[in-house]
Amino acid sequence: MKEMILKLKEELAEIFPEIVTMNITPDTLLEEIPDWDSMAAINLLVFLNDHYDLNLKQDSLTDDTPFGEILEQIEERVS
Amino acid sequence: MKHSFVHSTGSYLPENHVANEALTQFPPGAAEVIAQKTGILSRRFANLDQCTSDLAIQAAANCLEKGDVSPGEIEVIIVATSSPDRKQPATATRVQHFLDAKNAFAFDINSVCSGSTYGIFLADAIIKAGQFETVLLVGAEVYSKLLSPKDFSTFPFFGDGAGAVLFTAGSQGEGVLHSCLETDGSEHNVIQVPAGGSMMPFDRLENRGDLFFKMNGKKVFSFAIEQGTQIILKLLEETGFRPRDINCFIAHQANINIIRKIADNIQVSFDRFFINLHDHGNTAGASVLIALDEAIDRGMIKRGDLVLTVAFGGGLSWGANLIGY
Repeated sequence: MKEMILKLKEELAEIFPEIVTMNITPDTLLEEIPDWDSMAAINLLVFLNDHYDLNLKQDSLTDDTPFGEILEQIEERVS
Repeated sequence: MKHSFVHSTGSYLPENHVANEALTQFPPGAAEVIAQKTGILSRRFANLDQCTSDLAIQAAANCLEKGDVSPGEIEVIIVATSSPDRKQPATATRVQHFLDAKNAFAFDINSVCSGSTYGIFLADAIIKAGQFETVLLVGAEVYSKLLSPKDFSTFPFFGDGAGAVLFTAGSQGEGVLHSCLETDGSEHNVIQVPAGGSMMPFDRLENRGDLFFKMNGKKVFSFAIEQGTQIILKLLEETGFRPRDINCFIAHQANINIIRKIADNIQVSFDRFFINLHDHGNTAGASVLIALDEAIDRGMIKRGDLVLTVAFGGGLSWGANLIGY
């Protein structure tokens, strides 16, 4: 899980540059990402679709969605 | 001292309307988010075979036709663009050729979204210097070819288009009364197209994303409100006018919420600001000149009116001009 978090953090830096300074855990909420808002949510949806073929619904990424949930979905997809 | 009159204006928007709903690379709810966050409902995209000078030429021709001026009378052509046809030569040279403006010298300026206001200042300065009397300024942008189609932080917000103003010299009356321009170069990374120049040549490209336009949206939003307000108030203080003396404000058309906040800050009714971004999107350095032309065409600006243009963008740069139309 730790390795996955690091990898995801590195990839997400392209759309959320300030994420590199954050300590991300499975419990970290999306709203803790600097400048998180409805536009950031759409950027994340596009990113997950492009990088992991994850076709998530817009309402699945809310302010209080934890990173752990996204990581689980990525893990499921990848396996 | 000579004054620079707005002899005529023109504009050109590509015919291809692209509504928010047509951006199907983004999730279904994205259209509403775009509209809510920016006020943009649709934008115009150039055809695949249209380049920036093609739009500039159309806007310029429209401007000359409305002003009943032949191309041969133009002495100077300035194209304000941050999406040039090529790295070189200047986009203005192709405009000069296809306009058949044989007597004009032509060059580009690039101040990204502030290009229109910087261009107005420059055209005015050229006329005030006394050697030339007919200056054609064109703002032209084709951002659709600079944007990454999957980048939601940039792609939905920009459109293509061109606006033109023909300035002529006169000795009485009004015209361009004053300009204020500022730059904060410490923020040069906030808005950029990283690759393709001497800083990052194509053969040293490591990340394909660097080919495309990037901006820090949140930072730009607060910068635009703060400095857009500041430069308007500075211009008015330096010219002795008050916000309520201005008949029409032509603001850079980046985001309706920026314009609303600026109107609030200077305590002027929002309906004094001409708006077209709902249909055109953000046309970068062309936006003020397109809006100026459309405001005149629609009767929102009439002869004798006091017009204030304001723009803000990459550099970071910002500027404002006061024009007696």
